[in-house]
Amino acid sequence: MADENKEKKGTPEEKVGVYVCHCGGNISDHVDVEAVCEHAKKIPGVVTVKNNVFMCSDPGQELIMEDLKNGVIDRVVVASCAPDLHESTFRNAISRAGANPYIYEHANIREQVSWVHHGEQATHKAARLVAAAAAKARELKPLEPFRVDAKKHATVIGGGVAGLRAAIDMAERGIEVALVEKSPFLGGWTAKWDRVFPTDDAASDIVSELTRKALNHPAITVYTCSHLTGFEGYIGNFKLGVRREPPATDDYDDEIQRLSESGKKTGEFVPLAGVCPAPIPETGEDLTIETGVVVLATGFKPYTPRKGEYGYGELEEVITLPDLIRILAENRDKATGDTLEVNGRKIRSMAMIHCVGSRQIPGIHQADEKGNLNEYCSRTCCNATLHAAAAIREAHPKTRVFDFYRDIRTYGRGHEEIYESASHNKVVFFRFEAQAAPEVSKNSGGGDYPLRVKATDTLTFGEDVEVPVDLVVLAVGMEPNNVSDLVEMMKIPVGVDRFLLEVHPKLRPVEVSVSGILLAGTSQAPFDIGEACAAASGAAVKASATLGKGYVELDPFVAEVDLTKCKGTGACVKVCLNKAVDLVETEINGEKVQRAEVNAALCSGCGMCVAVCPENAINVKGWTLKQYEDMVDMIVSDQLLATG
Amino acid sequence: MNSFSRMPRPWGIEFVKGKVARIDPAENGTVKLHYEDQGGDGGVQVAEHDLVVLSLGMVSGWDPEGVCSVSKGSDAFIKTVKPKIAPTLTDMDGVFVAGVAAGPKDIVDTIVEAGAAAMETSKHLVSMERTRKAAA
Repeated sequence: MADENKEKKGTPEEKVGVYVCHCGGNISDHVDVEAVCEHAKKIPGVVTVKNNVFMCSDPGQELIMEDLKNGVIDRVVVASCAPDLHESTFRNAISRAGANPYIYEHANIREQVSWVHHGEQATHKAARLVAAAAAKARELKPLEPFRVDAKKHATVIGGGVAGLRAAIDMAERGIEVALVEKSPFLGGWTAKWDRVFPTDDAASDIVSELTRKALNHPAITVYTCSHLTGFEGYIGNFKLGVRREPPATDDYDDEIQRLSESGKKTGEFVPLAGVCPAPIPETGEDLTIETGVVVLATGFKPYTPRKGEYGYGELEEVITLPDLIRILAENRDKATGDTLEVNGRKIRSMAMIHCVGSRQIPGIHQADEKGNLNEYCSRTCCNATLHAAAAIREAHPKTRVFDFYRDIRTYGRGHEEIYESASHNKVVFFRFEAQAAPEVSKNSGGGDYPLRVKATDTLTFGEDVEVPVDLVVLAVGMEPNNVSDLVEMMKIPVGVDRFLLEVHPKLRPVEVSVSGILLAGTSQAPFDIGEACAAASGAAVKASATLGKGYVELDPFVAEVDLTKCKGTGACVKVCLNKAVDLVETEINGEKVQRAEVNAALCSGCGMCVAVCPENAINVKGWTLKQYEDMVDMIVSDQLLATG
Repeated sequence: MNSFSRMPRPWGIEFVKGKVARIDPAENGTVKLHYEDQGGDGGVQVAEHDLVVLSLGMVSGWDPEGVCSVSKGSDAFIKTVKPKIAPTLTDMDGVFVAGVAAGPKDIVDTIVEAGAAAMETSKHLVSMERTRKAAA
């Protein structure tokens, strides 16, 4: 192609094409797109300027591809939304037109302009951002992504349902899997449930089916009682340090006791504990795992109510929903009467309170000792509460159930039916406002009920109700497990809700910003079992696609040393967080000297080395100092100011 | 997710908990909404609006009847046989389901489930290949 020949020769005057997007009014309602185009025409190097209602649409992309194919342009600037949405769209279009995708520069005039500025100022800022991008584009060089071999091996951290699901999927797709679980048991929280909504499946069946598959699969190696101690490398070639050791005292005492009392062998399901696949180690050992991707299935923990929150920790008759589920599971083996029994006490009347530790509101709810409020909805607790309530009413008709809720969110398939079933089974509902939460206290009034629950019921337009009860169950929400050690080691982002944060919930839902690390299940957000398994399979398919080729392609935006300037000061080596730069001995003019060398696969392109080099001898490809200077020159250019 | 329901208040959005009984035309192109005011003092209230937007539910978009023998649930969406541990499996070998075809859900859950269906499909093809090679 004509363009390629020109690129090889290197044209002294690059031909920049600027394409401005209206974003269907998102941009053009606040930015005068025509004026931005007029300004762009005056920028040195710009040979054509076009605009379109949606540049990301096929006709929009076609504008760019036509100009490239016809040799009108050899550098591309699109001014549109944030680059994380459509930068790759336009790079791909450039590739399809037969050009190098790295001759592309993006100007964000939506998030950084039209969504935050209005009127003339918006147009001014957009014009300047476009001018800066065009100036940078002139200095762009065609680059090649580089390939590194990828190990066909994945490591899953967490042996709950999501971790098991992901491990099985990847193994069946031909990938070797290491499954690392910190406790002695597989099955996670699901192993501690009884029957699960909406299918009424036994949790033991769910866990057993998954563990059987995982433990019998020759490609899966399970490491229980193990945790990560080291993390280095990059996508395709991570190196993990793993410590396998006896669990700290009383961490899993309850589960270990259930295991020994059950008489079950390793690999068999132990109710309310899970599956212990291997004997608990008596001494510690350190292992190294070389792996291509890491799937974080680190799960959740139920919210622990504050002491005194609805009487929790002060009144022994106040328990959490996981406590109740455990009691229901244990009662299964016993003869059931028409009244629910808890620790030998007959429960004639019980209250269930929703949204405990979820949907917390600043100013109304008390933050924990670290200042955290759980403002999110935990999604699963309404269903689980109503499922348990209906089950109790069916099995124990003489136990009356009073349900105190803020809102009922039975949003999934077959879930509204649980609500209906609870209503049909004569569960009595009261609705309270967040600022007027029910009060749980000792019953000083008549009757022999130990507790009473007082609430203002909005279903009866503000009537004050008082219910004497034998038991109060708090429907606690989900909190992410504390994985600060992993977050620190892997440098992965955490959301404001403290769950691990994906790149984009819709476009890249199972990836984090560190390539090669994927999310599965409730490490990411509250999910039910089905959703956690779907997310885990989503992560597994991503891992399979990544490792299936045997190599990965990495963006070429990495540091590059100019050996004509490098004096071997080592300043770059000291600041590099990724250990991507080293001083190596080399010979120049017969003299042995030290010079910087970049390991491209480790470099994240952060530019720290560029900032500290006293010789200006190191640059990030695609983001050189010269390009920054050109951009700044354009932003402050008087020429633009005068015409703006 | 919860942030949506609390965010709009400062933007002047008023939430009314109520059940709408009837919507009538009113003067000058406006509409009158008769509703039971569940969140307030009860009783029937009337609100006048310029525009009423109905937030609609989802119904099944496709009936497999006569096309393929995959089963439906009682809600007319495609039936899934292992909703908990393999949510994209149907009762037909080699036919998988993703997204709202298997019941109402949001975009995020749909996309994640589509990944899961891709995984099941990929595993299915690999095992078919294995069987074919073993037979040969």
